[in-house]
Amino acid sequence: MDQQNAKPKRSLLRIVLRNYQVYLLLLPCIIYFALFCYGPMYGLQIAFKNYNTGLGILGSEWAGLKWFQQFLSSGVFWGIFKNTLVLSVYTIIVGFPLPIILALMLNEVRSLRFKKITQTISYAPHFISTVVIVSMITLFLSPSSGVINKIIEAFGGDAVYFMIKPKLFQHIYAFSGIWQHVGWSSIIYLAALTGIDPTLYEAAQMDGASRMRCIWHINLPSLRPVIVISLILSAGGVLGGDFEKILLMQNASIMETADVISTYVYRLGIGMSQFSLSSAIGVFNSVINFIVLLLVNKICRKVGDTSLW
Amino acid sequence: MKTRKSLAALLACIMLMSIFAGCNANGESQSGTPSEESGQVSGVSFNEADFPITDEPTTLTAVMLSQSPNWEYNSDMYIFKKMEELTNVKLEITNIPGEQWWEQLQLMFASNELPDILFVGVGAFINASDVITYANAGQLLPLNDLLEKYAPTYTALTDQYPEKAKLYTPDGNMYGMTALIYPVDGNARPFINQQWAGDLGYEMPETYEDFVELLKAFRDSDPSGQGTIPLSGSAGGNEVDPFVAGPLGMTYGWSNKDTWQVVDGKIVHVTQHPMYEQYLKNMNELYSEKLLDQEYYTQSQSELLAKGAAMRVGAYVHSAHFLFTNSQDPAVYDQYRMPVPFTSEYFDEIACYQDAINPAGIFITSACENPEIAVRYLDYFFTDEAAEWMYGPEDQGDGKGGIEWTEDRTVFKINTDEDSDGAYDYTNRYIAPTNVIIGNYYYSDFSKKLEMALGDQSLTYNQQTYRVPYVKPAAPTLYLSAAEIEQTAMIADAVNTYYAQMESKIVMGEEPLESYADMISHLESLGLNDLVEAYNTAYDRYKSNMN
Repeated sequence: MDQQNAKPKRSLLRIVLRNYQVYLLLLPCIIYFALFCYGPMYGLQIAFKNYNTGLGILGSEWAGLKWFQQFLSSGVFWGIFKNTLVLSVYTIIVGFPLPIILALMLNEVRSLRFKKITQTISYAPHFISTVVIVSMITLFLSPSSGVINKIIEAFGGDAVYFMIKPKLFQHIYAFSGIWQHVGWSSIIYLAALTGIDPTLYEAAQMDGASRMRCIWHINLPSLRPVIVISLILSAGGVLGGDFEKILLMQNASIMETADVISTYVYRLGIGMSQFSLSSAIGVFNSVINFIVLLLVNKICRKVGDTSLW
Repeated sequence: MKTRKSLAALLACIMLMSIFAGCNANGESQSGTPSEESGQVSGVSFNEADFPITDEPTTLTAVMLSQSPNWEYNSDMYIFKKMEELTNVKLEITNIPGEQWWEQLQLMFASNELPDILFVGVGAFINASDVITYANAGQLLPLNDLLEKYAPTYTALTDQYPEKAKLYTPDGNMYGMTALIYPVDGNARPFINQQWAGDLGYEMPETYEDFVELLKAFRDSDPSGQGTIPLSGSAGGNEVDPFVAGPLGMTYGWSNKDTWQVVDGKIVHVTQHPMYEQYLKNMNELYSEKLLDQEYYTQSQSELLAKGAAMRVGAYVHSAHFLFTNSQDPAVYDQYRMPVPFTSEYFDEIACYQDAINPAGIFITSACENPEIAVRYLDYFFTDEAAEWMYGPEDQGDGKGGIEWTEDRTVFKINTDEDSDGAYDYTNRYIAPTNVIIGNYYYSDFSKKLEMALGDQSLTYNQQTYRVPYVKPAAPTLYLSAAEIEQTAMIADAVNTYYAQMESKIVMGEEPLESYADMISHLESLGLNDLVEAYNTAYDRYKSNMN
């Protein structure tokens, strides 16, 4: 009996020791998450407290769910909740399929040189900082000097002041997002495509399958696990969005669609030092994200055979 | 499975450790609370009236807002050297650049890592609500008794102005000292291109109606030859309100009209001001006639400055013409001149507005072990001698710059070194941080001997000639109590976001002028009246504090 109980313990230690190089490689990652993701979480408690900067996080009084109630019952809640949701869902819908299509197309390109150039150009915007990207968007869409408006005017149209139209904000955000990230996001799919067994194509060609048929019956099914995983991950950020970019794109006249939870938290927290209230809103946001992640994961597991866990 | 369990255990351990780490950090910073009894100073000797303030060299830490990358305020600057010689107190300064200011400020308080003295400078670089929140948390020290005992110069200066009342918070304490006492005109100043106006046969306008005529001439004749923008600015720091809201009798503290206006002895929200509808109308007219920059609501400061440097702008609001045109050549920037404040058919008083006592801008925090020393040290900045030091040493002719007297020593000018862009930049680089601690700098007898010559001094000339004679007190900065802040924070955010949104839409013609009535009723549904009531309570407190 004793021997049996002791056995797994020793074997675990032995496994670790035997493969210590591998665990050593894992260590920085664990330390990173512990220090920067799990460690700061103890600060979450200020969402349930009357945070007093002088008394500190542990010293402040408990306030229960007061801040959550204040936020959920306030007049602004539904507005910004809706904005956040619409913006993210829209971004996923228009932004999600394009990297897959781009990857499939690049995969069919025969000229290696052309493929490399296209890839480099398409993922270059990913490395430009958000501040610069937003300035570029503002300049391109400027009513007096922007490229787009010059084209519109050349065809006899009237210049449009794109950045002040609340209805256009979501489109500008989503489509500039595609421009920024389509190349970068396609890399993961391209990698998956190179891993496909070439004998599958040979067999299909023997049977007389066209290129479109090959894509449909070989490439897409092989990509399915990767697609599902990426979809689950992006669903987990459904109440997220690119905070920096949204904040920089905001201006007074489009707040009815451009004000989202993250920018609201920023305004209340940093702008008005309402730390507890803004933490509560942040916690609310994360909880919703987590629930959506669980739901989508569950659906994926039920429907297909791939899921995060 | 096992691996995952031990991993979870490890993570739990690390999380626990970080909790204790946080606990320790808190415990330590709490111990820095100073002793309440005056005269008792921990560790060092303290002279209540004589100099040096302490017998042994003492260091105070300070955080300062630095608004230019050229300015690295440090203890080797002339004024701090002189002060150290006199007082035996050395200031150890940390600079925070302007673009990181708000985050750094809040994080400093939220993490309780505070300097002894916090300098936020002149202007609204700390929210009134933050002062209350942090004072309530015990992180800012009440200064009433300390100032009375150890700051005779400062107290005597501020006592001259009834507006001193604005420094008192709802609990009856003063938590900060003002950095600027005298009515000089604000930071955002209106400028008009006088050369273009002259070429087109126009006088400098003195009424709003003449101003609009001039703008139309700028638009139609295109004096810059590259698509002249008659009036430019940017929402968020360079509003055109001194041109537009001022002539309607609305007050503006800086470039933006005050959110809270005083009408018939009561506080109203700016949207409830009797002239607000007219303001919308005027702005809409400027915008639709293409007199106002079409990118006014979306352009950033840097985009605005690019237009300024290209000399495309007829009239604008900015802190200085030589900064706006990015030029040190008087032939270029002197094309622009400040107008006198406009009157209009609705308002016939010539007035520009400025807090006669600037809102509190110097704070002593709970981290300061010897607040008595800090207060005596700060008080000396308000003396005439310190004001003299702020102009720097005499020029030794070694290329380092300094002040140069005329032969009869009645008038001096400031010579700069090669690196500096004019006297203001020179002063803030090497002599004194005149952006954060001003004391008696502008109004001592010594400062009257400064020559009003060209160079960037012509900015001073502009101010003194066209603005300062007409300065009237703006609506005071009001402190809500901690409870009032908690109740109104979300309302205030909702109201101001919605009002800014509707205003920009109406001005740009996205919404018709008639939606003003809907706007008011929607603002009321957001809780505007509760907010106005809170501010009126604060205003009553302010009035009862006036002497």
